Amino acid sequence: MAHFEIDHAGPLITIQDKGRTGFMRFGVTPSGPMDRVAYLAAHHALGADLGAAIEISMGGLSISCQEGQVSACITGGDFKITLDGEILPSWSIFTLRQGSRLQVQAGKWGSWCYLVFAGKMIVPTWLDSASTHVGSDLCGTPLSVGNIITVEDCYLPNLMTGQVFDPKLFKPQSQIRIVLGPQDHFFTSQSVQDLQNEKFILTKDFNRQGVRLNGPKLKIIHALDMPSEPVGRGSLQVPGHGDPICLLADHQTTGGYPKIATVISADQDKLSQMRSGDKIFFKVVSVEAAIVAAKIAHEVEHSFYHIIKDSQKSLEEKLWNSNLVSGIVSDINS
Amino acid sequence: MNIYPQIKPIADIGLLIEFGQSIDISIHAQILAMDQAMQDASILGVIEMIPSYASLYVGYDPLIIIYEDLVLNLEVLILEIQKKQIKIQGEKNHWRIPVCYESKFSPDLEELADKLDLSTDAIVTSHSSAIYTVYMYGFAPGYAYLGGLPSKIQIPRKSIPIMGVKPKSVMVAGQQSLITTVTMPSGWWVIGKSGINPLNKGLEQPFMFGVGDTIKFEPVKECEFVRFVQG
Repeated sequence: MAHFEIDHAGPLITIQDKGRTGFMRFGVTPSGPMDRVAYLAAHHALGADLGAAIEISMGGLSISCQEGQVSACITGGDFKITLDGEILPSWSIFTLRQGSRLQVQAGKWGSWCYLVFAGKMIVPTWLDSASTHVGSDLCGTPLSVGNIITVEDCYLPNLMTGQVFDPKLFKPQSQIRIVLGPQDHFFTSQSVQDLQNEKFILTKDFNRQGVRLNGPKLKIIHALDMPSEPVGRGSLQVPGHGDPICLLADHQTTGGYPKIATVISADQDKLSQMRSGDKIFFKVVSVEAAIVAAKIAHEVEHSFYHIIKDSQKSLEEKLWNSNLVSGIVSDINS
Repeated sequence: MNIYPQIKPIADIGLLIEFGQSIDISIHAQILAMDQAMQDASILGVIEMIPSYASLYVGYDPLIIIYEDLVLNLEVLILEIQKKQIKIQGEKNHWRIPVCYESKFSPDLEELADKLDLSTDAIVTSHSSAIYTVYMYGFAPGYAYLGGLPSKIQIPRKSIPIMGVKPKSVMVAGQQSLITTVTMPSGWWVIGKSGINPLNKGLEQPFMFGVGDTIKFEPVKECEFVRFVQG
């Protein structure tokens, strides 16, 4: 068992696992990681499905190990990781021991990263998930200074510490694909054109529920009285101010604002990793193209998880044959 | 010509089956029938259905089911429910919910009475004599939107939401009433407090109401917030 105390926590740092599906009909948002690909990558790097992770925002997190030892992995955006004063590359595996101090700070890009321990984090669950839903506080609240994190069944995998993957591949590009609708016909044709041809900027109104975008104001043709209807992740809903709001992991389950378009699933996590001030160009694609993109993304993610696993194996073998273990190597076979 | 129902895709994650564009019990009955038909059919690759006022949302996994196949499946089910002459299923529950409307628990009742030019008693009588239907859930976990609010106590929501409205608050706005389950901001008018929270986190089925259930509020004087009766 290992215990950690939180010495510093920025806003919106929460426990997240795969989320809770199937309860939107009862008003329960799925929650889960803002960047599902990076979240899973950390588990693959550690060689097991370990359940919950700590989702770290740009506000950063510092923890100190009070007792025990455990390996851990951080994936996500390009964050700055400091372990006992030593700077590690983003997307690293490392081992935390009693007295270790880990600092994670916003780096060159990305809004979220995931800290996964090689063990089982003791966290409350609700409806089969440990994901904190910010707002309702139904399963925990955002982490804050003084909180203690306990990890059970700790292990130190036979893996090299250090970088598991160069995350450059995952740096978000400015092009985001969307499918129009279901209420694009409520908007002026000029607005539908603007959405595709003009630049939009992520504003500071950005949290786990959604992000407000700023660009040409999107205009509704006539005042409409639309009964609230279910909304999904990626929906671009447009309230009266004319700025689209892209709904993200903790979105409400229903809404009464018209949705001009929806971000395709393959691009949702990339958009979540962007930062306030980043620019977006939307590209309209068909439903069929969105589905093909989902399939391709699925294939790419799987090959990528294999690469992570394989690189760990070869590094491990390399280490067994060499004594060149420099400081940041875990206790092999301990 | 009836243009409904209409199937509208939502990117590659879901689709909406629209049965109309208004809050109407006959439209909602079709949604309940379709929701039930889909539960019975349990189509592989369908992740969830979300009933709402005028549409049924269907979430699916494009890696498991081909969109065109899903649409074909749904069109067959739509024809079936239309043939069957929709009626609301017998499995729906009727709930009687104790509500205390005393001033301690109804911070907005006086102002509402002013705005509606009614006595507070008249509002309470009206609110507690209607039969409500659970049209859908939304906004926050366990927030069931109840249709059937008498027209004489209908009023638009407040222009500015109030922060930190507590659980079990009984509220009204527009054509609807609602019992809150968690502390949330709200622009609805709080006119009483429910004896029970329709969300019970500890239960395996934490949500008391099914969509389509009916509800009646029973005024209680001494706030006997312990009993509710399933009729």
